Amino acid sequence: MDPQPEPVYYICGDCGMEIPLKPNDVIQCRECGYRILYKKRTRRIVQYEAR
Amino acid sequence: MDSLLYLLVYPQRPLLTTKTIELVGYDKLGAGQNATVAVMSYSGYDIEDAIVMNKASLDRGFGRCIHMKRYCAVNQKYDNNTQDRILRPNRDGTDSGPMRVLDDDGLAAPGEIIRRNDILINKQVPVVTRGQFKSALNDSEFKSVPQRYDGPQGESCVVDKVALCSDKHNNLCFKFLIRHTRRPEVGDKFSSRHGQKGVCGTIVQQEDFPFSERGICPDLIMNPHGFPSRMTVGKMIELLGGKAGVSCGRFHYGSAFGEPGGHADKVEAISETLVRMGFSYDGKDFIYSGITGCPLQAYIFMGPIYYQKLKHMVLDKMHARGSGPRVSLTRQPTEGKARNGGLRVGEMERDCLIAYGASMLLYERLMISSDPFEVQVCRVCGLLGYYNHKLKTGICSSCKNGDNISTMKLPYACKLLIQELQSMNIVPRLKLAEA
Amino acid sequence: MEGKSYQRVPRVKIREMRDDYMKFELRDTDASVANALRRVMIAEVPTVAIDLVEIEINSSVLNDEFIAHRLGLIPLTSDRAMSMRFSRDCDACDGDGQCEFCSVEFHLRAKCHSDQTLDVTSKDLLSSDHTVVPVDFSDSAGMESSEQKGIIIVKLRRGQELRLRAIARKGIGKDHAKWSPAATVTFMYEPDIRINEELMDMLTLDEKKAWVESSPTKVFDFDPKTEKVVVVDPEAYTYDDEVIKKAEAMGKPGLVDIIAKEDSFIFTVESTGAVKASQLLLNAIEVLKQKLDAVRLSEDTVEADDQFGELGAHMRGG
Repeated sequence: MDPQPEPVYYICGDCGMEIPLKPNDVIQCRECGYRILYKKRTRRIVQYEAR
Repeated sequence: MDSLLYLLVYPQRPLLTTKTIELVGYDKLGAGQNATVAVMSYSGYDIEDAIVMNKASLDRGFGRCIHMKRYCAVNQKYDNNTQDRILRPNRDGTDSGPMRVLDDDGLAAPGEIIRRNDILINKQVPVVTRGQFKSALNDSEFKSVPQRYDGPQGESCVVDKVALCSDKHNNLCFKFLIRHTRRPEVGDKFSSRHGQKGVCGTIVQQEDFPFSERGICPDLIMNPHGFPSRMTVGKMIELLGGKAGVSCGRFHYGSAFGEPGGHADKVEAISETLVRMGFSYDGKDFIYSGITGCPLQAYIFMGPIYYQKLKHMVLDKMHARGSGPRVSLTRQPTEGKARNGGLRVGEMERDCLIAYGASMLLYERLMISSDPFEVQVCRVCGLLGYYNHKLKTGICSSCKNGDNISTMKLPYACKLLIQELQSMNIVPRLKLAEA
Repeated sequence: MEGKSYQRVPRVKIREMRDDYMKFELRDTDASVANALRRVMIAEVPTVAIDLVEIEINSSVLNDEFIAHRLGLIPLTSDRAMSMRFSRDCDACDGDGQCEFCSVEFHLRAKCHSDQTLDVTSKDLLSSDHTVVPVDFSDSAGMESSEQKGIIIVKLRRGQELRLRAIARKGIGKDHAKWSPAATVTFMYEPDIRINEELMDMLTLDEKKAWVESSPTKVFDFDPKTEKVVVVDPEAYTYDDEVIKKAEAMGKPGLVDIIAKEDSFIFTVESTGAVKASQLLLNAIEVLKQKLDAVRLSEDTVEADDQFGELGAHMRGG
């Protein structure tokens, strides 16, 4: 584990804002205080068969 | 987040409804699709209510459904001030293959395709969870317990959503929604709205399917044997009304109560519409065989019927076990697909084997393949003894010697029963005779 | 048998031809040939269709594989398909099946910025090869532009975005229906309708009119001048036996004799737009020829002379 892990951004379930979080942070949106956060979509390109 | 969710990919409203359905709003639910159904015998794979399906229709999206399942994990906090933790994935270690799906925070990223045994969470659990208070822990005091995806082998599912929340004890909680788009396959269950359920028997290429002069090829072929004993007249009226509706552009009502108020269409009126549009009054078409090109010798009842895909899919049910886990109490194989269980040869199956006189088969099924257990029985007192490994003989606990011990094989459940009876002060003595 | 060949030479006469629709007659051949032609048109004429989709961003309401499935079903103009190689047979590409000889690349970028719903259609798919593009269904460009905007792939709301790259490859309908160039291909046996004039003359005017009306499709007509029943459109006959049943009900069985000719077929071919209907037929004949050549020229045929007999010699041109 590197000493300064890059914060991963999560999306608030209510207001849709992007919130950076580090490990062991409290799970709460900074703007509206909503307590459920969703992960963003992966940055990798996903391949599908068109079948 | 729902624990289980089934969605139909291309829902349609039914072509034929009744006034009651519309009043309740049931036609707006999109529960199925209007399939062009031909009622005929085809291929022999349609016996006992099985359905023959058109491969091209399945390619175009007929009957496709999305299956979404929720998986949870919790970061437990323990009494000695330690808690589970999620680690950043190790990108170039031995485990880097299964860790493919993980994002930088150790959780699977939404949008990624996962397969069986891929890691969803790179979780680590502290080795010591009880006892004295610990302040800070180093890496060696954790053991890796990655949570793996245990879906069907060979199917690629997609992580749909990942939610982070906290539960009532303020533990960090993760919920994964895994999505699987399923195409109908042999074994999936379908039903019309008339109780005519059936399993997909086989999937046939479109060029082999019968076709009409207008070029219409059915999506589904249903066996006509399903009609005589079930007497589902409603299905036949649905086909007629749907066919008339599709040709003339007006939705028809299929209620049996043909009121003059316009809330239902009589079969005579529907037949007249069919004749007007160039079809036969009874809904039967002149059809050519797709394999030979020659016309079939009978007119075939063909038209649109609303078919629903039911949630009993073969992917969820297929299960096999050679040998596997056993119940600790009776040492018999476990029950249920989730526990990798065996299939029970029950009392009725036992009766059938007895009727055949297949005693060796019964012996194999009920003892050898289930819970064989070797016991030492004393010929004198009939009670169970034990085997002394040092002296290499069996000893009877009550007679206090090993002179009259015989070894025999019993099902463990029988030995358990004997011991349970003993505990209730009943003495089950085994009377042995020469084999 | 020396000398006399029982080989028939089929004749084709085109009745009606448009870009995506063709009606023609096939005469002097067997039902097996007609059916073979139909089956090849549906399943074995190659076209180009999207086979692999790489999605970068998708925030629309449809999920990734849903959109990939819809993209696969979009018909692409496939005139190049007959000369292209299958991706699996291509030796020019470096193994991933995406070189310029065996595949065509497409891009789609759409983001909705306004409050109005944005329709992402097949017109938004940009191709790397201008001969392989999504089929344009508009009859006359400019007219009715609100209706002819291409096949809708997905609808986007403000802020939603779709970005993907798709690879189209050559394939046949047997593999997946997206590669089938045929919308419908069907044929009917040409009916041979003979009215027994003597029996017909015995009917009254009303009976003749009733009999003409009993056919659900307009096959016969009553000519008021000559007061005779004439056959106006024999091909409209759908082989329902209504007129025959009506004749028997009126007590005149044998009033009309309708037989399906065993060697005369009327084909109706409708294409999806990937290949022109006429080109579809020609390609089908070409593919059928290739398949027959494969059988004829295979070494097994020589040994199989025992089972093929004189047919074997016939196949080898003897």
